[in-house]
Amino acid sequence: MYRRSLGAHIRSILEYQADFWVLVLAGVLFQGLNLLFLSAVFNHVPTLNGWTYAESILLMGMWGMIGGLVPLFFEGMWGLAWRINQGELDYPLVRPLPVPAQVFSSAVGLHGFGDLIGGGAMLGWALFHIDVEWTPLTVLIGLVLFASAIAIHVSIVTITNAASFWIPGPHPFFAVTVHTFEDMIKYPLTIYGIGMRAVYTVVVPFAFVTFFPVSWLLGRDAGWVGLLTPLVAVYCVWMARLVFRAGLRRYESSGH
Amino acid sequence: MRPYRSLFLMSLRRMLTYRLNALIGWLGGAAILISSLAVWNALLRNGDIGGYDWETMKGYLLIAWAMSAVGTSYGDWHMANRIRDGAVATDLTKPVDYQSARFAEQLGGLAFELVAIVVAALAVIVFTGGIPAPAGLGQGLLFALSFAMVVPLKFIIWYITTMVCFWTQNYLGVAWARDAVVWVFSGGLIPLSLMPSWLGSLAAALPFAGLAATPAALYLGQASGTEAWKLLAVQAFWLITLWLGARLLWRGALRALTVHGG
Repeated sequence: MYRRSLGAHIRSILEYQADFWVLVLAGVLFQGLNLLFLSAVFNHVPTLNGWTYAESILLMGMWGMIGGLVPLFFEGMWGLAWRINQGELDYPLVRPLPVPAQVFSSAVGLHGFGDLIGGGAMLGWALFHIDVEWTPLTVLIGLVLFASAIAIHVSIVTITNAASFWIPGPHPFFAVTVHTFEDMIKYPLTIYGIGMRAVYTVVVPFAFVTFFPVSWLLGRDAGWVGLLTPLVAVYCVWMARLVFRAGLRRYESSGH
Repeated sequence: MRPYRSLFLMSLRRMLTYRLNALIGWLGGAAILISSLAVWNALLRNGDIGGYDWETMKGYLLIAWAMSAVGTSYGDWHMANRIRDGAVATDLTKPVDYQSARFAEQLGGLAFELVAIVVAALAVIVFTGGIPAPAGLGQGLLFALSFAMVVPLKFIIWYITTMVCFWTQNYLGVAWARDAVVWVFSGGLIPLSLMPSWLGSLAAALPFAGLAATPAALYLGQASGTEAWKLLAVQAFWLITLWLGARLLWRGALRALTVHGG
């Protein structure tokens, strides 16, 4: 069902092919921008706060890849504010599929393809150039951490967008602002001040979306914290469920 | 002039109404400024890079960021939506010059952007212990001259990219692609002199350098005397070329306009 809903949106967007290619191009360009920045900087310095070129690319590539995958499958959440505002959440409420699933699958962010290409290329390149001893266990844990990181990111997107149940208005301003601040995790967390590091770890666990899992893979100091990523993911998903349900109970539709 | 003045005031009033909208945009801008300051702070801890020490870089980043904040809070999305839903047809019947009318609206947001820039500058001064002053009165005046050109130059680049909506349905991708190109070639991402040299010289010849690299070089005194005037001349050349080019493009765009119904 989820797949068919997404498929329908993809078909409708592909009607306008020029738009599709522009979106893909924009995604690739933005990832290329990050790559260009790191390449230019590493022409002049050997490390960024102790991170080598390949390690920094790995961090950025992982963020790019998550930023590409998530819009492809979960973009609909960004339209939640609009649907609440228009009272359009009535339809999902009476259909026999969980409301969050219907909201998630109500749109496809095709710009994700561009980010996926750019981010995936960086991630793939970096994985071959970092100094890691690969064992089946490393691969397995790595995949679990990657999936957990995605779950954390999606949960935060859900919670911040669900804030629209309480904040009136057709645009998810709050979610957009939080998302912009999340973008700062494309650099090693250690370059920021202690206060920001604490907030990004404890209050809003952005650091678990890239920094801690990657630190674990690279065997850095405190890399073990990365192994907590699945726990943080479980907590975040649970919180997202709770907030979304509380929001739904508050939903009043419009007019009538 | 009167219709343009009222468009300017209307856009000013619209900004006041949608304060939250603008505030969010600036908060997002703050995140970009914080992360670039943090990255460069970490990078420059072990010494200068390509002639930039921490103090100079702070000044550069703040100026590049301030220039990127100019002209963004209102305008292009509104115009793009009117083109996409066909409402632009009613604009065409009005006895004002379309391009100048949009510019007047763009200026309406400028007052707010200047406030945001001052707030950001104060925050940087408080949290990072000061920013460099202009390298002398002369350089300060040259910077002011360059800044005066940033406003219309930025407008015209945005205006031209918005016109792409006559051919595409979706503006988001176009806006993002433009932002990426501008961010690289204006020197917002990284100073042009730190780029690979072929890319740096290419960027210096393109119109986008006038949006950040030129005013920053004048403020910081990296270009003075003849060199400074040469930069200003390039900036002025692009401003005039694009301003006239946009009019040609506009005529072509009208032929691509499809309005439903009626």
